[in-house]
Amino acid sequence: MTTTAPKTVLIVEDSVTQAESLRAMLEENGLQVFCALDGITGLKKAHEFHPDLIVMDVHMPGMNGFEAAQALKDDPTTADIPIVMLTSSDNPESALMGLDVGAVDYIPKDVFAMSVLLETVRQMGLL
Amino acid sequence: MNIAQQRFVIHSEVDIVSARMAVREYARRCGLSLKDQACISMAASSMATSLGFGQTTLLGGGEILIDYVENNHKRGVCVRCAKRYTESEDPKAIHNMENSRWLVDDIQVKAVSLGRLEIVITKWDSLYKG
Repeated sequence: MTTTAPKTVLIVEDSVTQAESLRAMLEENGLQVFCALDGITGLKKAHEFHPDLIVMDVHMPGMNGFEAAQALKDDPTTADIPIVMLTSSDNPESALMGLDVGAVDYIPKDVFAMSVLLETVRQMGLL
Repeated sequence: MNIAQQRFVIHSEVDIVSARMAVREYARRCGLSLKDQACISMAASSMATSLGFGQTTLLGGGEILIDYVENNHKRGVCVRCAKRYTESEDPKAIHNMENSRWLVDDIQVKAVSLGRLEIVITKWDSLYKG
C-alpha cells in the first residue's frame, strides 16, 4: 500500500492569532502547514520546505509581502511556488501590485476570506 | 470558442464564494491569464458583496451570469450582476464601483427594468493577439 505525502502550505503572517487560525483550518483539511512570522523567515522556510503553496500576508514589519513575493519569484528555486496574498487591504491598486509580482490570487481578510482561501486551495488541486 | 453561459442565483455569502470560484474557472477555460482570472473573479465577488447579494433581506440576493465575449480581435469574460432595487435607491449609487473599476476593463450600469438593476463588468484577455 502506498501513502501520499500531504500537500504543504507555508503561511507567512505576522499575527500569531491569524496564522494559527489559518493553520487550524488548513490542517483540518489534511494539509501540512508551516508558519513564518515575517518575510525574511518566510523566504528561509520556502527554500527549506519548498511548499506546494504560500499564503502571504501583505503588511508585515521589515520585509512586506510584496517584497517577499518578489524575492521568491526572482529566485529560480522558488519561482514556481504559487503565492496567494491574504491582506487586510481591499485596495485594488494593492491587489494589482500583488498580482504583478506573481501572486495567483489576492484575498481580502473579510468575512469570507477563509472560505475563499479554502476554495482557492481546492481549485489548485491541493485538496 | 464555444463556452456555455453560466448562471448563479446568490442568496448567501457562501454563494458569493462559489460564484467567485466559478468566474475564475470560467476565465481559465476561456484562456485568460492567471492575473486576468484573478482580476475578474475579485471584481465579481466585490460587486456581489457590495450589491448586498449575500444579505438575507427581502431585497438581498441576486443573480450572476458569466459569458464569454469576443469583439474586434479581443476576447474576454463578461459578468452580469443583477438585482432588485427600491425606488429610494439610486441605481448608480448602489455600488461603489471604484474597486471593481481598477480590476476590469469595462463597467456598465443599466436599469434594465423598473426595480431591476444590472451591472456588467468585462475583462479582456490581456495576452490575446487575435
